Amino acid sequence: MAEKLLTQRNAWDRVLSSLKKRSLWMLHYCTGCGAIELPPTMTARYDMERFGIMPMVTPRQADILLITGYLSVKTLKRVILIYEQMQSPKYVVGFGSCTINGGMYWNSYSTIKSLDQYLPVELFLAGCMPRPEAIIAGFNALMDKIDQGKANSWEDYYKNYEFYRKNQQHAFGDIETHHDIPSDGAYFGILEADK
Amino acid sequence: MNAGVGLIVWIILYPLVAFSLGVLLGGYGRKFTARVQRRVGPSWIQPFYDVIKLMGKRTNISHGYMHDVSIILLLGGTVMTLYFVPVPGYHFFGQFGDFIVVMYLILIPSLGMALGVGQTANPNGSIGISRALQMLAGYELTFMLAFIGLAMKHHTTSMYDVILAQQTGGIATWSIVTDPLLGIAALFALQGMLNEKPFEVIMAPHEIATGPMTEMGGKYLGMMFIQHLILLVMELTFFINLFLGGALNWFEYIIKLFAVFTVVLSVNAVYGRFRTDTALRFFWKLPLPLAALGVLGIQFLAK
Amino acid sequence: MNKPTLDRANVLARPPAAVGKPRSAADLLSAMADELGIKTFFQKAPRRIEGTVAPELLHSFAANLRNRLGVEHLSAISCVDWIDQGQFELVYHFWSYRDSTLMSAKVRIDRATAQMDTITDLWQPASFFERDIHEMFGVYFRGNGDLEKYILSDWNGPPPMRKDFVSRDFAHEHFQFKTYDVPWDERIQGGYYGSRNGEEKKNG
Repeated sequence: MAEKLLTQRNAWDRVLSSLKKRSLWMLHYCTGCGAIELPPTMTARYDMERFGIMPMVTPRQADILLITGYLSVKTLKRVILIYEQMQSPKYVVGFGSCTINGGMYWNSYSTIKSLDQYLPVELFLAGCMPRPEAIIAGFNALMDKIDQGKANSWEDYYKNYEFYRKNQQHAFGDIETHHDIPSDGAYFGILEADK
Repeated sequence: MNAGVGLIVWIILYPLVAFSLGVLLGGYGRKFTARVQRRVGPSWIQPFYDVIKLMGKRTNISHGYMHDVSIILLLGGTVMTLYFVPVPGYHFFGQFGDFIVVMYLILIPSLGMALGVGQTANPNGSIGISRALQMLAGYELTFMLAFIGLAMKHHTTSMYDVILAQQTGGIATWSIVTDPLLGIAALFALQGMLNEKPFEVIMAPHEIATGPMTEMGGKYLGMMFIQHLILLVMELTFFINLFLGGALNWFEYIIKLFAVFTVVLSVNAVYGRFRTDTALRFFWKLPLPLAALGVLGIQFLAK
Repeated sequence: MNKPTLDRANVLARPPAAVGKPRSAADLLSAMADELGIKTFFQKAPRRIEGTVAPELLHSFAANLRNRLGVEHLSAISCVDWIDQGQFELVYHFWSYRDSTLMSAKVRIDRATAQMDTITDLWQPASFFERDIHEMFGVYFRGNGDLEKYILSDWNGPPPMRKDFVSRDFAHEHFQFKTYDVPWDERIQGGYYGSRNGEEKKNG
């Protein structure tokens, strides 16, 4: 039941992934200053909806979590809660330079420097901040990745949960998320991919 | 399709046909709205991709037994109601249940959704459900009154007989031409039944996080989408059967579906959202008195 | 210490000195000297007056500024870290609606003990600023019962706005950066300006 290796994908998987990539819903949760580029991307000039990407309001219904811009430690705690409420497969897109290596706020004492230590990131979009054309190019790259079956970073959260948890605890201490990730991974057969 | 093997095949295929029509209508809706907003819009079968993506989610978050069962109640109730609605060439179950039965059965999906949402214990969901049930007092009443007028006129409560009565003389015998007050009142009620703006308050995406759909994700939401698409077709078919003379063949039926939906969408694309109390006041000020006037007219003038 | 106690009704009432024609800065300075006995204030710019007040006198100064001179609005309280002099400087900004003038009172407190009396009994929203200063500089406001953190909720390091806290070192110590080893970096550093030809061009 786990995601198959790339060589094991059959025609059904290819058809399904090419249908699934046409309807990605992004969570309308804007963490930092990069979110200002989202309304132009969604409205008439750069229309994002023609790719099927719609903003959705609750994490339960969304597939893409956009971390737009800097992420302070206080927000990171809430973002982890939101991330664990989303249903797999889910894609985290790091938006802007602050998620890549600290960006403009690299010497701040309370923003995180590198998003992929806390969440498994599928795609980084460089820029400060990326313009709508860059955002659409990034989403197209994500759709291509899904089509080829390589967009499996969501599994990494289940498999390397201790690594992410350790980094999160080092950043902001303990948190109660009401989701038991290791047992969910075992129940849905995600942890058995390597076996 | 009303007897024998044809009937069995149709009973199996009918929900699929309704779902496909719903996908086309939903895609048309999104495309139309996008063009009104001077955008390009998603593809014509976008709801199909949405449903496939939702049903293809790997993990599910369930809030308990009632949450799981409520979705089955939702979809099952809608499909069951679908069988009582006549379409060109099929009216078999009409002999077992008339319009009153359909109006009763159509509340079962709402009940299912209310039970499931209640168990998620999310306040946004509870607010959405309470608004949905409040809005019922507006549009449902109007639609029932409009139908009662028709039932009094044709001395029957069966939808199929109303259709036959409308097809005797072309457009001049359509109910919307012979009883325009009832038709206009029912058109307002249709806007409410389909939860299109300005009566969209139960969804209210950014205000209460889509109301009843707050805690639904993945496969739950996929089945809710399927239910929503089938309900779309079913309610448009109500209006067509009662007021636009039904349809003699599938070509006419599909054209009428898209025509009525275009009227609904045109209002949806340019309006904001009424509050619950404003919407109720609107229904009781304009459509309900129109329907009441229509009923009185039928009672006293049609002798 | 001279702390006039004001009850709530008294505090919320509009003082009689707050209505009337606007006074000029010179009038305000002379009123301050006559009625409050504070002579350290001077005019900095049109509609800006500032001066120093001793820390133990600030509470009565603020109360009398409000009641006798009619300066009703506390705009902000901010803090400056004079690390070389071993002092914190708290600046209280008061705005007069009647005169459209900002009055800034500067108070120096010792950096090691870092304590000050609160003025939340005069202006309840002052506790907002006092919480902020407590969180960022570590100044304790006696009498304010509500000094919990609101921005740095999971923070257990030193107060970050103090000058002996170096944010860059803290960031390097507590967070991990990515290391980059990219060929174009070499090309620029070892190429355009740093190559042998480039050095000659730069130096000569």
